Amino acid sequence: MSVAGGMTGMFMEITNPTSSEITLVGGSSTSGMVEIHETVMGDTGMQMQEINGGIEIPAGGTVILQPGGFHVMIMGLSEDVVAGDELTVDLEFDGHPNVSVTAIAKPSEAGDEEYHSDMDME
Amino acid sequence: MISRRGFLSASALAGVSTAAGASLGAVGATYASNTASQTATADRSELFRGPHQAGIETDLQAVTNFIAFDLKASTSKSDLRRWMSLITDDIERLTKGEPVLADPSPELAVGAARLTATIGFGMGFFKKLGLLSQVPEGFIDLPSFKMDKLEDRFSGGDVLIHVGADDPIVLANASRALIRDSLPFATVRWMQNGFAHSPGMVPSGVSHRNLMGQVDGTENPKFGSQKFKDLVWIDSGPDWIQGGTLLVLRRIAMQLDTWDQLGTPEKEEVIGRKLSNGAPLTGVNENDVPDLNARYPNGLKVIPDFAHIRRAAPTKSGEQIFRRPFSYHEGVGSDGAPDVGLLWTAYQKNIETQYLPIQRRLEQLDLLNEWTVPIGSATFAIPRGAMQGELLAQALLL
Repeated sequence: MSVAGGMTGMFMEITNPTSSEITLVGGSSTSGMVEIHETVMGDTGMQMQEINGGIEIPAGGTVILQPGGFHVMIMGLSEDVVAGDELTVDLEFDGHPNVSVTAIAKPSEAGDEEYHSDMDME
Repeated sequence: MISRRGFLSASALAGVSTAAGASLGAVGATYASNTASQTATADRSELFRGPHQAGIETDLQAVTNFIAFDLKASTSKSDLRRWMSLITDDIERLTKGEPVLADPSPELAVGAARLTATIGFGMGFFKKLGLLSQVPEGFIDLPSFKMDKLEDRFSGGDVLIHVGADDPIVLANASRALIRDSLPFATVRWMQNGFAHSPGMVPSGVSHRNLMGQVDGTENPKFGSQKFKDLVWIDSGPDWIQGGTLLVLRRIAMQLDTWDQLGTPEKEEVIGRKLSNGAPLTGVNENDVPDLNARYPNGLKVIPDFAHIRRAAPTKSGEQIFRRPFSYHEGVGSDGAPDVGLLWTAYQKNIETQYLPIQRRLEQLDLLNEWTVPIGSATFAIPRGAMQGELLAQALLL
């Protein structure tokens, strides 16, 4: 489980059926603070960090948010998240109205990357 | 600062918005393989949604894992509901040959391969969750039988997930996913793996040639028949079990070295059937009805008193079971004796009135007991299937 005050990653596949490019720039949730992250190779191994400029999804294209790649991070969880819980995030786009996404929490072996943020989580 | 990220991951189930005709959907990832390179085995799939769980009235698959769990002390009924929510979604995707949500190795979803995963609950489940009022009629922990040499590592369990598939890689990947999503709620008690024939080796059905050489599963009720329905699918009692069934799982070790010291006629007399095609000793074809009264000119019975099929034959209407047996082969001792046997299953409406009287007769007399030893045993109540939008065992966990 992820405890209150902790963080969790959210994965999905986003398809843009419109005829113009859109960009996932952020989001909001009652469950915590939402950031859009990427996983990069840093000096000390794989690190996750907030992505500058968001994730572009081309017209008619699909982007996969998955462990080890792009993902939505929910930080400062308002309460414990246990397997099978549902969390809802309102995703914010440039070029498209917000989209509400509900996800189910699952146990995962992923997430051994080091988490990197400029924010002081303490 | 640098910290470790929590090990729970959230995965989008689905999200759609529509604005001025534009829609944006977040759906489970599909890693489609190149369909041109897929074989018939990869493409064949079983239906997950329906009135009964798949994996019972289903042609035998090539390989199987029976996985038993013990509930964690902290696991409550509401936890169970979350567990079933994860497992229901997993099984639905795996049955289609798709990766589960947030699959760490989606590339292993190489095809459906007739995967099924069937869940069941042992007596400990009902005791631990305070659900004894929901125990179906005729569902019991088995008494001990005199031929039993049961081992804990093959016996018991609060929850069963029985996975079958026509491909061992598909089976292993699905089993791992289902175990991973179960670990917040339970610990693994045992896993027993088995096999039948590869696709294409025998006609579809549930007869398979076990490692003693016998055709196993002949007297089974036919799929889709009224008899199957009458013997297997429960139609009364607690809501959640209606459309479900009761499972007896027995791990039966075979003493192959001494068995193979017998000649073919002796082996056939032990069972009462021909090894060549499974026909009764009084018949020609596998499905011929055995004539238990037939005698040789010298007065001896053609199917001897000690023969397995005579002892197992019903003495009254309804005293029958549906068997779906797999073989196992765990290795070989330094003396060359193989560790082989059956993951023998019986499905029925009522264990007390269907399995138990048969088993009592086999306990009293069955020459086959000389070469077969039950070393594992468990019983599970199998909830009905999940219809569209339902969770497995939903009616039990409301």
